Amino acid sequence: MEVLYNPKKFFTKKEEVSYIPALIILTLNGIISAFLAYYTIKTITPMLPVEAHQFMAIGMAIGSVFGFLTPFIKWIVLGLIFYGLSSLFGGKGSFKKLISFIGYGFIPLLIGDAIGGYIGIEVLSSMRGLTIEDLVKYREILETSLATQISAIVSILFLIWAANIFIFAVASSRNIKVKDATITVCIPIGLWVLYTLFKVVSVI
Amino acid sequence: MKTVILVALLLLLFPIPVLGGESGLVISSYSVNPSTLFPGDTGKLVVTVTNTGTRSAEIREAVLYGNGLKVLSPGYSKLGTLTSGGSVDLTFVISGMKEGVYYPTLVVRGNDSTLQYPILVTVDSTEPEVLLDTGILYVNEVNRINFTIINPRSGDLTSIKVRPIVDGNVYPEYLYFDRISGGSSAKGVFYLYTTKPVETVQFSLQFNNGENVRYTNTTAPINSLPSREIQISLEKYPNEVLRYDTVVFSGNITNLRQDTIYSLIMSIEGDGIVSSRDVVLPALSSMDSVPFTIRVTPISSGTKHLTLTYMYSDVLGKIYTGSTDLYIQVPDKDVLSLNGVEIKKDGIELNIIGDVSNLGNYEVKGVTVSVLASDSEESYFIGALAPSDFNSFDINIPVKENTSTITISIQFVTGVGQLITIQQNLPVKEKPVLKEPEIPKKYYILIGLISVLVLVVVGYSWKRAMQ
Repeated sequence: MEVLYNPKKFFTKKEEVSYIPALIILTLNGIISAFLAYYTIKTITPMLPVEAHQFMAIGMAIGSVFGFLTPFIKWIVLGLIFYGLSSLFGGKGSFKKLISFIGYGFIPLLIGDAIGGYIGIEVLSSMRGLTIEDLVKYREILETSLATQISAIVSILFLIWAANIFIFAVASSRNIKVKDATITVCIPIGLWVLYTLFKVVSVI
Repeated sequence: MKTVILVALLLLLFPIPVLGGESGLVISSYSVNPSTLFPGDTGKLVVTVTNTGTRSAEIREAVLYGNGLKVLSPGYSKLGTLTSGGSVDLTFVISGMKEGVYYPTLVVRGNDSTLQYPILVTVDSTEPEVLLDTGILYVNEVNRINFTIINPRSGDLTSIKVRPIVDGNVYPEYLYFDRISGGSSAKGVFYLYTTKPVETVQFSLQFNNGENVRYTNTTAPINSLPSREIQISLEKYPNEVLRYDTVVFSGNITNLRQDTIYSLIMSIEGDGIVSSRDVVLPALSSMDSVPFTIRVTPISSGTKHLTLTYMYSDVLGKIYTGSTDLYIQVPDKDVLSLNGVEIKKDGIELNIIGDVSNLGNYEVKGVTVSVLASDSEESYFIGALAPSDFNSFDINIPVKENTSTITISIQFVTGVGQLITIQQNLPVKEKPVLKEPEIPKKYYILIGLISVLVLVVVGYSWKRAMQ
């Protein structure tokens, strides 16, 4: 738990390099994502014509698998970005160490996804009995809803928390200054936050 | 022998005058009836004596000497005077016991002359024969048997009565021929029905040879084969049929028998099915084939055991029956289905739209969709629905405010003409109000706390990092 509130100390004294903690965190994250994809398609399927149901069954399988893999893809992509940017600041640590460290940064995202998923299930449950025409109208209502905005803000808060862990993970694994690590992390995460804020603001 | 025959012919052609006389008595003609006797037969010999002289001649006596034949009638005496050109018939009854050619001699004595005249009479034991023109007999069928009756004798046979004797039914019982001339034959036909193989047909003959009534039996060989009956060939039909769909059983009926069959009735029966009217054929000739079609509609689900039965009769009225088992699977699913039904409630009126699909293999007719709700009923007529086709319906019906269910019924006529109604109850759902999802206040508090927690944790971590 130290990594959540004192990541610098956690990474400084951490000497062993192992993928296992990261993989456990990401697997839990993947399970939540996969379940949300499955639940979303299952809720929408009855609203579609009977002829489309068999295609939705295939979509449910593909969505679940893709949902499960998404955190792992984010992990690798962020790792590559962090590795590249940190190299500009003279970073020397291995890529393996980097991604094993940044894996801990997905703990806040896991908590955020769990809370966001719960809200998502509540919203999906309120959609039962709608027709496909209703669904289109409901999507518009949903995009401008307070629930969506709060969900986005919560998501940004947890992303900031994750970025906090990423900064010390990069600094420690790549042997660069905290200031340089902050720049390395804030560029991609900042863009991510800006994108999330843009989505919320654009529909208001 | 040839010489004897030649002499006899000369005697017939050239009447012999009275030996040594002037009066002119001659045998002008004679006849034997029957012309050929069977041994034991009696025959009538009629001799005509004519006076060809110029003066009257007295006939004192006329006697027939058998020369091997029996003469059963007495001779004539004191016949009187025969004027010039006059003639008299003398009749004698004869009988031959053994086969052979005989020359009984007629002796006519006058006042001054005696006339002797040998007459040819043949006794022959050759019997008439019957030959079968039909060589094969089919058991359990009415067989038309053609036969020929041959008279190999030189004389005619009359009043011939032929009775075929065989283990079975024979029609007609007797056949009658008025006359069969000597050395000729006659054709006949009779019908025979037998239930077991036979190897020979015996014929009992009764006929007249002159005034003699004779009886004889003759036997003719024949081959027996089992009946080939009738053949019903069915075209391929679907093994699985939806409830109220119609399966068509079609094929050909072929009469493999060698006789014509009559009043053929064919039907398909079974539990849980309705079939179209029976196939009825007035007659079907031998080796003729006719197509048939019987439609069957299952009215319940499960494995259906159908029995195709047929019945017909032959020319003698004997009735034959047979059957074939057929099986079809009927799943628990109706041939018509409702799809995409949408019920929209607008105050006190419902709008119901949807599709009716024909999932079967046969056209249904008169399809009408009705909606029953709150004691009101509205219908929508679709008409005929071809297999694998669908049609939409759109019904508006006034309802009470609290109506929670409606009944949709589909009425249609199946391929066998039966009126069917299937019903389905559907709930009336209130249209959900589209509104923004509400998040309970406690969640706002929880989210606020989490936000504070995150900020505190991040802040704390930086504080520790700076130390």
